[in-house]
Amino acid sequence: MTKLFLRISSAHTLRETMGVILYGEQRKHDTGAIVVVDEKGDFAGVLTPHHVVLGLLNEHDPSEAGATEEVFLHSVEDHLGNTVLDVLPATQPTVSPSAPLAQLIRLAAEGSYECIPVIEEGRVEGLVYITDIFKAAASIALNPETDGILLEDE
Amino acid sequence: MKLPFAGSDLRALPTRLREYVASDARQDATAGLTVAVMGVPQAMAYALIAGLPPVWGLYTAMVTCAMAAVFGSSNHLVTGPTNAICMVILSLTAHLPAKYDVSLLEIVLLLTFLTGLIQFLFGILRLGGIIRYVSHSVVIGFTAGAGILIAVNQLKNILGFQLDDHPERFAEVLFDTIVALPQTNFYALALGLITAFSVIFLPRIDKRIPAALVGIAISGGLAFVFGWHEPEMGAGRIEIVRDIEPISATLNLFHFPELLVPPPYELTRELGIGAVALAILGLIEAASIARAVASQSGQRLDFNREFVGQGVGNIVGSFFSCFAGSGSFTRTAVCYKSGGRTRMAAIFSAFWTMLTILLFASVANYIPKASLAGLLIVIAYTMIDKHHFVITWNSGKYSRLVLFGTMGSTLVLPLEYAIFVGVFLSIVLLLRATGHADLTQLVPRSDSGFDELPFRRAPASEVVTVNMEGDLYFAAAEDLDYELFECLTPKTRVVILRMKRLRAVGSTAMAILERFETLLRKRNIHLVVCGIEDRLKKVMTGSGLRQRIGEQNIFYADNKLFQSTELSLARAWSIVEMERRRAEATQKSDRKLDTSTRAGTIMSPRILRFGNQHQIREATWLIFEMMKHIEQKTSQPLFLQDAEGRLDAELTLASILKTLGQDLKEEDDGLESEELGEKLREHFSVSIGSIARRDLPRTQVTASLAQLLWLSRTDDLKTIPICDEEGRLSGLVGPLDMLKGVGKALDFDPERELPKV
Repeated sequence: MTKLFLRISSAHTLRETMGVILYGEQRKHDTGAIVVVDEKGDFAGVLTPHHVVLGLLNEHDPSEAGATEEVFLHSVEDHLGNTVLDVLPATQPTVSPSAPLAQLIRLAAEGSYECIPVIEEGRVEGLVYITDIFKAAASIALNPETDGILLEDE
Repeated sequence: MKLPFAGSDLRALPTRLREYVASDARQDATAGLTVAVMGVPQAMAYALIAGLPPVWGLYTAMVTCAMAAVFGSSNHLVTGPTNAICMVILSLTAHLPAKYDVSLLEIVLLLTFLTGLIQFLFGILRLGGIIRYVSHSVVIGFTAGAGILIAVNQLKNILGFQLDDHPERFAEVLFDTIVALPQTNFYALALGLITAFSVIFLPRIDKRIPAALVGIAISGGLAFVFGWHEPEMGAGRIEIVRDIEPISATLNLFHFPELLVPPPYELTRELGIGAVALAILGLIEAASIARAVASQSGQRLDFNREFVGQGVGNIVGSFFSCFAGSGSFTRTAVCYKSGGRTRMAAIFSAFWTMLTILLFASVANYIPKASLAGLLIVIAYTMIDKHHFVITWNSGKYSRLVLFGTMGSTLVLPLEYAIFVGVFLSIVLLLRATGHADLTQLVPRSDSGFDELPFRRAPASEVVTVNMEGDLYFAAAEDLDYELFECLTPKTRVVILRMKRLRAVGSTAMAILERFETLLRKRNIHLVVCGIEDRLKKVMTGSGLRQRIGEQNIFYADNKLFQSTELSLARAWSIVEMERRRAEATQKSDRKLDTSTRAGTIMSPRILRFGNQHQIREATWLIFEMMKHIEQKTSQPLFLQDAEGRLDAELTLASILKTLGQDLKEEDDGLESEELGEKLREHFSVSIGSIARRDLPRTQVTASLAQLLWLSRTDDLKTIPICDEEGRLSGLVGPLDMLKGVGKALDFDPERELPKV
């Protein structure tokens, strides 16, 4: 579980979100997942850069005629005014601090989540990244006999 | 070959003489006789060319011939009167007696002395080598021109009349002769034609017949028998040798040149230039004839000694009523072919000539002038070397220019100037031919060393190595620039000039370097020079060029062949490499300025390549190991490649966990790590190829930002793999990369855009 994470309000615009992500990136923070809270301060979801990317797009295929860089950037500017709430995924599983690894593995296998927030009493205690789950699973699954790569010829 | 009298030990003389008599004397005497038989009529005829008494020709064939043989070096060269020289003598002296009121004979003797003196000086100052630089085309052209002059000048003699106002110029003589045609003396013409036909046709019957002698004897005999020389013939009387100056059977020929003490200043000055021309012409003739015969006999010639011989021959000759002589081609050839072995052959010919005077003087007096003219016209025709004309014509425009320039000037200018024109032209020709640097290109071979290719044949390369070879004089330097530039291709970045084999004065080499350096600099091409000799180094230092080219671009000649070239080549390639990197750097910064962001500019090239044939166990281990070195929490998919290295599939952490944990149920939540690990391992043997996602787009570095974003949505890909043209993975563009790209494209300042707290 990572206790250090970025937090943002669901009312913030994508422009502000991009500022947070890129600024965090510059400061070497983990920007793969940002915790979103609503106006009341309650957990609302997890936002990843991928969601922001998707939120910047309109419905036009850029390979269509007339789709210049200028046109594209213009529509991106428009979308940057949207709020976090507009792009936030509807579902986001959470776990309690006591959740076993098996449960985490099951949740991670469900879909393309970047992380699973750990919630206690409505507050986000920290984030369990998929990479953390993978590391934990791998460390108990791998043993000295099965370590390493066996080439097919061997 | 034995050289008589060559030994300094006089006591050995009798022995040597005996040896000589035993070995070569008979051969030399015979050869000498053959030469004399042929030479006597020639000598008399040539005197006629110069407008001098025929007996002087005989004197020259004796004294000058013997002296030149004694002091010269060629075994076969026969010196004496020659046609071209006699023509020059005529041109030089004919107008002077009237001008200075001195006898023609004295003027000619002074000229002969001066000519001999100049030749002698040439010899002792060792300037013999100079003659080598006179082109053969000059000799051919001059001889041909002189031949035409002789023929035209002898027309009056063969036609048996005299031209009243003594014209000298070619055109004047020709014109006056044509005007005087009605006065033709047909007796004279007949005698001339008989001689000419004899000279032409007798050798065809038998080569051994002395055609000139026989021809003159027949015609002279005819004239004598019919008494055509008698005063009773009136207007039809023909002129004979006696009319010019009688030949007496005495050898009272010593005559101190009256003009020698003291030489009259004006006349000497006027003759001086002519004497130089005559001396040069004499030396050219003698040297080229001696060389021609030496090339057959195999004798090694000392040209300086040959010049001394010619000089002494003429100096001594001037005291014995001789005019200037030189090597005679025909007599020299006869001397060699009739078995002459030593220089004694020429001395024998002088002796036989003297005997001729003593024995046949009274007969010789009756030789008709027209017969000698007939002989001369045939000789004049042979002076035009048709064979070499063709060769010279075919050997390029410069040779042609020299040939016809010289020949033309003989007909237009005073003859002595024609010689200078010829010499001048041949020097120009020489410079043209040798003053041209050859350029080749050196291409390094793969093993080691270089291939030398003709200029502009080398394949286009960033580095062009030009090898300069040959002599170079200043005027050619400018042409060279343009030639050098032809080796440049659009690809060329560095030119290496190899100057080791270039022979040029320092200032010329400098001028080329300097100009080339400036011109290359303008084109932004680097110059590296190698094979720089010490001499050039000094000049380069002095002029500051060394600094301008830069010491790191200069490689000095080394004893080891091509060492400096190899070093300079290494330097050149490092310049190319440096430039390439710099260009890449600027290109990158150019791209940043460019508003159109491409996949290639935002992708991260750090990727792990993994084959698609592995099992999950191996993939798990690999990713696990990899994660130990990465602090980033964000999950990265693993892109798999096929056996050929092409992008094949995407393996996400989620898909691995899904496979490994597919049996986990809610009731397994209480499992111990050990048991859980056991459950996960059950699926370790699943092939990753079967669980990886295969329907990946093959996006290339040129993909625009918009297309990348669009792909994230349509293909539901967080991270987009970027492939090269062969489909091999060359980088990844993750969502963060895309946001960075958008930020850059919008000139987005993250700090300013942070939410206000």
